[in-house]
Amino acid sequence: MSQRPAVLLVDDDAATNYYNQRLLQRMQVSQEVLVASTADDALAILNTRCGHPATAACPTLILLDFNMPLFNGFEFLRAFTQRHPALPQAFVVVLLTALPLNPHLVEDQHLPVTAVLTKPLTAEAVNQLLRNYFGVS
Amino acid sequence: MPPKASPPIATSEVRFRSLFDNTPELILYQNEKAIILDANPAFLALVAEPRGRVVDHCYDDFLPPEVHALFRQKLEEAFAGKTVRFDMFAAQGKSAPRHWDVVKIPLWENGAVVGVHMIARDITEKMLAQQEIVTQNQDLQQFTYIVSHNLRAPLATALGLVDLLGTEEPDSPYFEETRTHLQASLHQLDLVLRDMNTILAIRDQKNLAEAEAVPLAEVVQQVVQNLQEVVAQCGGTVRVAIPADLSLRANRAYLYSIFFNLLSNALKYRADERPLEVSVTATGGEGKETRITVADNGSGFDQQQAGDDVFRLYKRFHPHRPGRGLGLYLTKTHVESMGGHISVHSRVAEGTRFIIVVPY
Repeated sequence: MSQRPAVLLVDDDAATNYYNQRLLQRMQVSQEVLVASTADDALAILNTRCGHPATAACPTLILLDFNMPLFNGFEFLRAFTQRHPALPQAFVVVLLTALPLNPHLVEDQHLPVTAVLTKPLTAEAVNQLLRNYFGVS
Repeated sequence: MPPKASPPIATSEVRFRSLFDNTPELILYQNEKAIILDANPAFLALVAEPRGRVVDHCYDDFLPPEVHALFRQKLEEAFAGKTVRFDMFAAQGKSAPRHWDVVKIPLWENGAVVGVHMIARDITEKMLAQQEIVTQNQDLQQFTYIVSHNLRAPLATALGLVDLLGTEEPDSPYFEETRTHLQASLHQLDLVLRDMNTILAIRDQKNLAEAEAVPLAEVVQQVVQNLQEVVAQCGGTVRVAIPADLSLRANRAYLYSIFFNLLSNALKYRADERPLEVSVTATGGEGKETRITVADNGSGFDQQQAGDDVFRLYKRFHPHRPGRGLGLYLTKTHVESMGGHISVHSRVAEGTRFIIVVPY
């Protein structure tokens, strides 16, 4: 996997989505940065684009806000893994939190969370993700 | 002059009899088979039985089955010569369940335990107060957690945006857009801090001093009046059935806020398929608790999923409708500042019913 992935941003806050999107755009991380402001929208995007996760249309890097109304990050992932039990392995899911989370809190959920990052997202953190999980140097 | 003789000390028998008869604690004397050989008036009063139906009966007869084993074990330990102490929550006889601090004390005669005294003290009030403190601590902890996350989130975004701003070309559309979002984040931060101020003001005990007897019907009518236009616009009706003489010792502004929030919610989350109907009813007065119900036929919510979270700070359930998740938290805080309790029952597509109970 040394291809730059399509990215899906999931956050209810417009300013945060703008910031993350612009950061990724400036870094030329991906051809495509998709934005969902609700968990429902995000699930819809994944449903329509990820019949075959290996295709370019499917955003395999998901940057997910932990603290969303209605569905928090965990609840979103639970819905996602329930609907597509086989899919989550194909994704790199990064939980974005306002403050550092207790690691046990994440582990105890047994959800496909690849990494947890404290906001704001930085170019350095994004580069590290690309290096570690997508073989991009 | 010879010293005046002090009055004679009452005999042990008289002293201990007085203690036995007059202490509010329960005192029993039991044999090894748990048969009650003696019971003090406090015990007889609690189980509401005459002496003849207590003495020579097994203590088990007055205890629920789930604590029989515990009592047997503790009695055995006491008969083995140990003074034992334990807590339990149980009914005794026909009394309601209470928390008891129980001590069993062996009585020795010629080197052998011949019987066991039990003294039980009612610690229900203390336990309840303790539980309340634990609950309050948990609430505070959760409050701090939510607040810190909700303060850090817009701040983190602002930190990111201000860095980004430094790299954008001034006067470019990107610069302007970044600046606009930065502004929005700072406003969000400001809003959260203002919310904190509102919440802390309600919790400030000094406000209780402003409590007055507020006529309930009057306040509700005032809220209905102020929302009338919105209600009329959506073709809804609000039915109010509150006795004219029913009043509540409360801060008028808080009471207004409670009904304003609940009615606003009913309007906001009405079902599109049918005209909104809200009913506000209340009973109470004359030494009884006040019970207020605000019920609507709106869109409702999934109570299984939401649980008690509807009252949580910044918790929202309708992503496509505006709202900050503050209203019901404030409502709950207002109700609690009056010493009351609020609960909710809701069914999707049927409606929502809020019940407020304020003790007399």
